[in-house]
Amino acid sequence: MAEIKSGATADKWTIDPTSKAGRVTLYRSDGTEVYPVYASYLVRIEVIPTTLTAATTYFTMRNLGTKRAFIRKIELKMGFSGTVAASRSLFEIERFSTATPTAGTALTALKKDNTYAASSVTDIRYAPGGLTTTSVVFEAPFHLTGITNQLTVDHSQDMEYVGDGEIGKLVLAVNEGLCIRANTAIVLGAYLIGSITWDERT
Amino acid sequence: MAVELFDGVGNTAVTIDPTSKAMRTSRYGPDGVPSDLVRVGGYIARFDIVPTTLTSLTPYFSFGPTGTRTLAVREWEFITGFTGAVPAASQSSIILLHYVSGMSFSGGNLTQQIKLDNNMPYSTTDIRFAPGGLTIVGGLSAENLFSGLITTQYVDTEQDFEYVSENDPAKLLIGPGEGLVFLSVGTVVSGVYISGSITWDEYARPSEVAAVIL
Repeated sequence: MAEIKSGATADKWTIDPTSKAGRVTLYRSDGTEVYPVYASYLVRIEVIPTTLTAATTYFTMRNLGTKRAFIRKIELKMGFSGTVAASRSLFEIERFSTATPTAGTALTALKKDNTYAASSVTDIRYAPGGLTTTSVVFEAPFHLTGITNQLTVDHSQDMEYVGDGEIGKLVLAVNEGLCIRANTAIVLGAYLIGSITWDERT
Repeated sequence: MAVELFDGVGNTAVTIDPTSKAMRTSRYGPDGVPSDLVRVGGYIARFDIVPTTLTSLTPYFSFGPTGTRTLAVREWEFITGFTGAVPAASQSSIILLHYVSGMSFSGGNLTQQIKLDNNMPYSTTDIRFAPGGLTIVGGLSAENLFSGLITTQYVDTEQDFEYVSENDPAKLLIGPGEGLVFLSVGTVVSGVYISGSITWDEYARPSEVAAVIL
């Protein structure tokens, strides 16, 4: 009988007693793991602007913990309930860093499984009148979305950063955040609601 | 007796991970090509097409590699809408083309490529837009990927093209010398817009990607 031993440590290979299957973990040829273990979270988005100027920040979530956050999905629904105009209200989505926005209403990340540890994204907030973003450094927007300022144009948008492994996901490293801001002047009555789903691991 | 497994070529021993006690393995096809490819990085960029030049065959947005990397498009995600004076029932056509060789674009404004993870290297993809139209270098030689009809009424819609799965073959490949472009076909009505983003991966070994995907 021979036992297979690691070349890196003293560890020996495990054969599971019920299935009699040898345990293997998939790695790419560069040594990165194909399917790491995650915990997963989500939070709602509610953007109903009352401050209507371009560059107003309505929603932010910042990763202030010790894990990396991998954005899996941003699911949005846009609508308009104001006085119609021949124009559009455009929002932008981008990462930020350096400082944490203040004011507004705080939200807490929801665990998809209550056995998970608390999320590393510990600061989530929104404000119809705009958050205070002193010293916040914004990256360039990576996505634009919005609505024509009319009453019959409600629509949804479903951005999925999923697929084969984590390289396709949008990453919030420690101290980075994600935000939704006005890209143009917003017309009163335009709104954007939905949720963000993400995974975390160290 | 504990034995260590070594490969038949070098002097490399297999690793057993200390927590799971699982052996590390990598998947390969029978042709020797790895099934889980090593990418240079993943990227995303926004676009906002609001035409001011309304004539047919105006290119508003282009996307293509500048170096030797091969691009694998994961997703196009955008909304279409209309903010102009509503005319009699009509449509505007802005189509998405895949051009294959002898064609490139100049002028307009460069769009910043955002790394999906800031630890990744910079993208080498050229992305540019112009409401008044980009300049086409070379002849128009392309195939239509998407016929984008936009009704010139107040009817916003969403379009989501996902070329992803658990395997790489689902992705749309853009090799060196190739690219994508949004182009008008017929006269566009003022007020039409297309806004959204494109997500893609970049691979340094195009021959390897081609062996897996094509």
